[in-house]
Amino acid sequence: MGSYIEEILSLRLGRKVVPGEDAVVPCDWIVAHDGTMNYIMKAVETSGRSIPTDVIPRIRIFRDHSSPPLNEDFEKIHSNMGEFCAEKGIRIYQSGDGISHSVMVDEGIVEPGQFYASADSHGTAVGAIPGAIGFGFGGEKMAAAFLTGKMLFTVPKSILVRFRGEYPAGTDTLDGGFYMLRQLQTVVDEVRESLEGEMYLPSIGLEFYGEPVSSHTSLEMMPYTTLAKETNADTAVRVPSGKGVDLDDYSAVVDIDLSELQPQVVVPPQRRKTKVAFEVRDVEEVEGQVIDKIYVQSCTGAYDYTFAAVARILGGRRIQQEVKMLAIPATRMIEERLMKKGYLETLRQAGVSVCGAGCGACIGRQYLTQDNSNIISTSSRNGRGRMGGDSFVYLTSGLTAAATALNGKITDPRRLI
Amino acid sequence: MNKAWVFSDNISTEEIIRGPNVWRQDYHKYLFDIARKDLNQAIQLDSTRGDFFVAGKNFGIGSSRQRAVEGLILIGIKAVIAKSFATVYGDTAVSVGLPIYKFSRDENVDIDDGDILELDEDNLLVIDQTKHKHYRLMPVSNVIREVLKGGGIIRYINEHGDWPQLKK
Repeated sequence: MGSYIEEILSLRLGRKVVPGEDAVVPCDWIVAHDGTMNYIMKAVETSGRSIPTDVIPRIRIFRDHSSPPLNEDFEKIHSNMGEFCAEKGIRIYQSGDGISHSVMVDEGIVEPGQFYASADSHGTAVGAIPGAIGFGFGGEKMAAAFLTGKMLFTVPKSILVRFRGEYPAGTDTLDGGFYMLRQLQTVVDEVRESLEGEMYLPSIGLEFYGEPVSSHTSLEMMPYTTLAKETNADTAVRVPSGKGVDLDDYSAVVDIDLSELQPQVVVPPQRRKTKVAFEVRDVEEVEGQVIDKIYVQSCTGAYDYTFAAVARILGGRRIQQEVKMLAIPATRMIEERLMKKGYLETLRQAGVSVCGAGCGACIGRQYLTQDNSNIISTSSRNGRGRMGGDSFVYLTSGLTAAATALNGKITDPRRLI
Repeated sequence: MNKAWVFSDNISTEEIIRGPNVWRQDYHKYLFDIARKDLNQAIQLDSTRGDFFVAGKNFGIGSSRQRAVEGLILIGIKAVIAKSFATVYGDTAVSVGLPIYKFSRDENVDIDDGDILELDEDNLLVIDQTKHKHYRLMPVSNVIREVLKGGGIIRYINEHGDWPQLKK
């Protein structure tokens, strides 16, 4: 029968494909941003070739990594991108419009069955749209996609992740995503080893399946499809409810019971006790850790439900005096929805700084941090020094972030509900 | 020249070049800046011309930043030889023209920082001249060989007009 990823890709290519096969696929979307456009523009210009006219409408460019640009170099990148796109008739978004993947998913621009090529490893995010599939590629290969409208890639082998149960109070899909990361890292590693003989650069896809997955909105799935990248998989999709799966089509099957979920925390790499890339622990193990700064941000954790929960917890209260807290919605549309519901007002009254949509502090271009500070972020990556400065970054849900803001120390949100 | 710099498993692109530095003009001076404290690397970036990186599993996990590959080219690294590569990193290395190789699965690699290496591409061998040992490399896939031979994916497309034609 084939995995669901095989089905999506076979349909897209018009012929049966199998895992391990190198295929050249037409890209329905070619998406890049101000973190990667420099290389793409340079490669396109050096090539001397022009971007084909039928490819132009499939390209979307975002200004999200430096939003707004905080120094002259970033300003220059933004204006260079603007000139390049204007000259070629390419659609480019404004600073403050939001994060590429979040906009493409939230506004329903990506449709089921479509292949999304992104100059950002979190291109996997679009698997939140049922039947869509996305990959991240390096700048040079993306330039080749600009010039041809197609992408060469390896058809992934799939791991089935089966969900059941309901989220306990005090947890949300970001806790679910961290828990998924916790379970999947070693499985992906083992599957990679097993594929070594078959693929030179093994490609792996996670397939999320089960009643909870089927009932989530696309934005609720974003933690799962973005954090899939951190498991060291290459893509992630949502299997539609009612689709039969044959376990023989999968390299591994992982079962996740959400009813056992506790608030999860990814500890800073400097404070890991094990060698795993992302050490995920139950919140009770790190409660009491003093926190200086909190970011509710990123393509992983800055959606309507994230801020609704933060507003519920902070409503009518003030955050701790010593804590700096920033709220950076993933997109401008989300920001507008939150404003209409009064959530942004609630956050401001609680002492939170609400900032324009973008990637925020996640990649170290904005809101830089001091050495040795302790930070919480609702994002997917806490590599040492990533956010600028040699700081300690804990990744948590919005619920845990809000509870922590009230106490100035990591706090289990279940204490407040 | 021809020296080995040895890395363990799961080296991330963040460790190679951090988010706050990746956009700089002289970013290649910031490679491994903080990570060195954890990796205990003796690596001196101004003495790496013509050297090799030798790594464990999953070299280059995480972000797809191209400069994590180009930075190595700028400091003169001839090739990266690893047990395995993170998919996007390996793919980007090939696209940009940084040669990558993988040790055969059954090899027990015992290379240290500073060992002098010789790469025998025709016979797919890495020879450690300091320890008098050699290691077999996995055969490179056809597509990868084509693209690397072509000098990266853009040069390949310029010369051939399209992506490599795949043989089944």
